[in-house]
Amino acid sequence: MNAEITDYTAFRAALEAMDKPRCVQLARQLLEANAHDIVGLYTKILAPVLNSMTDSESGHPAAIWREHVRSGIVRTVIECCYPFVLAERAARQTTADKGKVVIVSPTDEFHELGARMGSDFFTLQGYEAIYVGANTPKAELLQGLALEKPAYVVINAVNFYNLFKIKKIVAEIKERLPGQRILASGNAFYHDPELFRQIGALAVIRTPDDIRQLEEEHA
Amino acid sequence: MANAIELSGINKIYGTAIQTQVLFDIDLAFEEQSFNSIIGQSGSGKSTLMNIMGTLDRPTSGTVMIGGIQTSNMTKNDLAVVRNETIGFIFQFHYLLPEFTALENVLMPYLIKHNKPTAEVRERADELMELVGRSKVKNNKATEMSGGQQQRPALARALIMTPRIILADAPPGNLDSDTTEIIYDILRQVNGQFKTTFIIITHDRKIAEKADRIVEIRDGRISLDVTRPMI
Ligand SMILES: Nc1ncnc2c1ncn2[C@@H]1O[C@H](COP(=O)(O)OP(=O)(O)O)[C@@H](O)[C@H]1O
Ligand SMILES: [Mg+2]
Repeated sequence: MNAEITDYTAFRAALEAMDKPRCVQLARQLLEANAHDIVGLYTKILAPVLNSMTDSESGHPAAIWREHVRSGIVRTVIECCYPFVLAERAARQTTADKGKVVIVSPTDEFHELGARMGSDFFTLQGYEAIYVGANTPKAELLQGLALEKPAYVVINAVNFYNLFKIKKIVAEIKERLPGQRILASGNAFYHDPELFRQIGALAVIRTPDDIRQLEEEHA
Repeated sequence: MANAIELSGINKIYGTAIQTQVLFDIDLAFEEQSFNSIIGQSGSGKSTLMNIMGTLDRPTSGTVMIGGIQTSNMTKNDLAVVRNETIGFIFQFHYLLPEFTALENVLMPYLIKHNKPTAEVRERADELMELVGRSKVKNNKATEMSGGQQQRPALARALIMTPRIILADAPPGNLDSDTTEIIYDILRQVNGQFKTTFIIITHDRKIAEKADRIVEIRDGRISLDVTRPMI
C-alpha cells in the first residue's frame, strides 16, 4: 500500500477512536520522519480525515458532539506542530520579513481549523502570522488592524450566512483604513469563484500556492 | 432545473404626487424545488418584492414569470387563477379563523372554491395535520389555541392546495426560536417531499442560514446573492 494512504488510514483510525494522544503522536512521527511536511500533513491528512468523518456521520444523533470533540483533537495536533512549522521555515532559510498577516473569523463564525492551518501557511511563507481566531467582533478587528498595520488581513467564513456580515466589515475596513489589503478564505467562498470580489476582497486564499500567486500579482 | 419565478427589470414606484422608488431594476430568478431566503433591513423593499413575485401587486415596470408563464398582460381574474393554483402564501404563521376548528381552517382554501371537501381532500388535511405534528388538536377551535399553537395548523392550511411555490413573509420577532426551528424543519420536509419551491423573508438567522440560497435586499437593490457551498 502507498505510504500516504497508510498514514491517512492510521490517522483516521486514531481520530475515529477519538484517541487524542495517538493522534498527536502520529502527526509528530510523520513530521519527524519527514514522511510529510506541514502542508502535506494538513492538506492530505488532517483536513480530509476531518471532513470525511463529518460527512460519514451526518445524521447520527451525536454527530455534532463528535465533530466538536474531533475538531478539538485536531486543534491540539495543529498546535503541537508549531515547532515543526518554525523548523521548516528555518530549513527553507526564510524569515518572517514579509510583514504581518492578521487571520480572523467574524462574530458567530466558530469553524476555525481551516483558518488556523492557513495561518501556518503564511508563517512558512515568511509572514508574521497573527492568528486571532473565531468569533472576532468587528470593532476589535478594526482596532487591531489599526494597531498592527498588517500587510494583509484574511477574513475567514465557513458558514455562508457570514458572507453578508463580511461584506459590511470589508466596506468598513476600506473606509476606515484605506489601502488595507483584504483577503478571503474558508469554505463559504470556494464554490463560487466570484464571491470574494462581491464581498470586496482582493483575492481568495485556499492553498500555499494562492499565497505565492498573491505575491507575484501584488509585489 | 426550470425557474419557478423569474423577475426581470423590476422597478416599483409608490405614489403619484410624491413618488418614492422602492425597487430598482431587479433581476432575480428562483429555481423550481429550491429553498431560498430573503433578508434585509426593515424598509429595504422585501415585502414589496414578494408581493410582486406573488402577483398580489404589479411592478411599475419589468416582467414577472410564474412557472414560465408571463403575467404582465394577464387580467386580474386570470392572475387570481394562476396564483391560486400555484402559490401558497404564509404572511404570518399564525392567525386561524377564530370560529372554526384547526382542521376546518386547514380545509378553508379548498372550501372557498368548492362547497364540500372530498374524502381525498379530508385525507390530505389529516395528513398535513400529522406532518405539522398537530393531529391531536385538529378538532380544537382556534379560539382555544394560543398564537404559538396556531402556527402549525396555519402552515398546513397554506399547503392544502398543494402549491408549487410557497412565499412566506415572516414578521420579525414573531416566533420564539425553538418554534422557529420546528417550523423550519417542517418547511424543509415539505420541500423535500412535495418538491415545493420556498421563498422565505426572514429576520431569523437560524432560518436564513439553513436555506440553499440567501438573497439580501438593500435599499431596493440586490446587495448580495449567495448559495450554500456543497460540502
Ligand atoms: N403602499 C405603499 N405606499 C407607499 N410606500 C410604501 C408602500 N408600501 C411600502 N412602502 C415603502 O416602501 C419601502 C419598502 O417597504 P417594504 O417593501 O415593506 O420593506 P420591507 O418589507 O423590507 O420592510 C418602505 O420605505 C415603505 O415605507
Ligand atoms: Mg416587510
